Amino acid sequence: MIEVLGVKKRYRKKQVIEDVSFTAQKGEITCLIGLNGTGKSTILKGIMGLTPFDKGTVLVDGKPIDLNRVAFVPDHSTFPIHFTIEQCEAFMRDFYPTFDPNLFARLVDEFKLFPEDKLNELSKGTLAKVNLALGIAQDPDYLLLDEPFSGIDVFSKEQIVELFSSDIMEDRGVLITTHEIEDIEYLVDKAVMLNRGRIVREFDVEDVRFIHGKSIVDVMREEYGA
Amino acid sequence: MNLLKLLGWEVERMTKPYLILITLLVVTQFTWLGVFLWSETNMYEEIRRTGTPDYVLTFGNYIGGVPFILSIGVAVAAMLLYSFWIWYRDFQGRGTFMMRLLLMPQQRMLVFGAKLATMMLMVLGLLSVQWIALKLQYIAFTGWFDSQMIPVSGTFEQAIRFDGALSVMYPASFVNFLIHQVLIVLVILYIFAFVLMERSLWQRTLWAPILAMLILGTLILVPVLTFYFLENRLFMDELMLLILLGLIGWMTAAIWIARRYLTKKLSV
Repeated sequence: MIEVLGVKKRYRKKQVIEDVSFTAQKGEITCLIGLNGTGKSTILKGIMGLTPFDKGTVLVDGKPIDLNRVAFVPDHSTFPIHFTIEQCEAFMRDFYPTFDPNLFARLVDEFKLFPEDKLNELSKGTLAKVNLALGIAQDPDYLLLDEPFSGIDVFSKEQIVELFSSDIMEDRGVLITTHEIEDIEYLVDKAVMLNRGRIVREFDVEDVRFIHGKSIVDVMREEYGA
Repeated sequence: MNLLKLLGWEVERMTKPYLILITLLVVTQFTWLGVFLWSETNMYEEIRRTGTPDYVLTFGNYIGGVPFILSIGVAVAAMLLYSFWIWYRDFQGRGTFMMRLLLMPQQRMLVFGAKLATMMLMVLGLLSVQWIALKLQYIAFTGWFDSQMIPVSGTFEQAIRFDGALSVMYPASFVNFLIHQVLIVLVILYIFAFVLMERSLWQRTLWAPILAMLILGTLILVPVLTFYFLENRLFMDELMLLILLGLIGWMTAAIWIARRYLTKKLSV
């Protein structure tokens, strides 16, 4: 379980994260939901130590984060754009001990990627798939995904959504931020709603669906008044 | 092992610009040598025609020329700039490669070590290439003037010893060479510390670069001022000990700051 406990973050004069605490379970998909600028990406980067929190703690299964067990997939490529997919894979094999080349090969095959393609020649959707493949191939217990559907075409979205319900993602904990909630609504187990850097609601999606007959989007409407 | 892999990676990335720099340096110097040989020969012939020439050429005349000094200045400036760029390029654009480096499960100081080692390889490589180029230029210099029966005086070593920049690059003793290398490492360490501090503070304040400069500047100045204060109050061996302690202190402080910011504060 990922435990985020009382984290705070300030950018210059703006408090972007205000005492946020939540958990994300292994084997479940937890979705961080919020309007633009509510601090979703900051929380993911903070968990990974890329933008350290000012206060608070992050524990993974009761211990400080181990980067061998948690992978982060940002909404953009982290490799130089002149790299080919093969070169990205070579780098990951060299420096990420848990990287599984067979799993990567399977994902490349499923996403119909061409290893010799350069990153700067890829569409946004294909680039998102490359990022996801590189992240999942680290074979992590927990996967943090920042806006994986942002600006990508409907077919790429479908492929990624399919992946979430495949055996590849089984037993992994997923913490995801997305605007396109309707695409993955039926996959999400838990939703954490943020507004102005605070958690405004945290709920079990199935409970809300079956007991109250509401979708995540319905709850968003209530909270954000959209 | 991972440090070597990272070092190999960094070396691969710097190879192209480095080769361009080395080529520029060598081509500039040999072009200047050609111009120098040609003009000096003409001038000597002119003097010979008008009377008995009483002036003798030295290799120092050549290495004291503006194009030669400029070529070395450009190389040194390029090294200094690359010490910044080796970090800043990884923060460039949205494809921030720094994110990939920081997400590696290995210790972050490996990245620091690899970049520092790359810089030192570049510096030592430059010194070696320049040494070989200088030797070749000296051979060409003496060979040409001998063939023209123009008198040349002084040895290669003398020319280096009396030249400001070259005597720093190639000091007479090995101990001095080591001291100069330590000072070069120190400069690179402070540039690294500056970048890491600035990249850690930019989310907190617009003044991050100035703040970083102030903190590091104070750190550099305090031992210097202490030295000047104590200079006339201590014996020579005590002063030497003070300098040694100062160097160790500077180096430890720079590494400690860089480590702290790289592992705990850096933001991408």
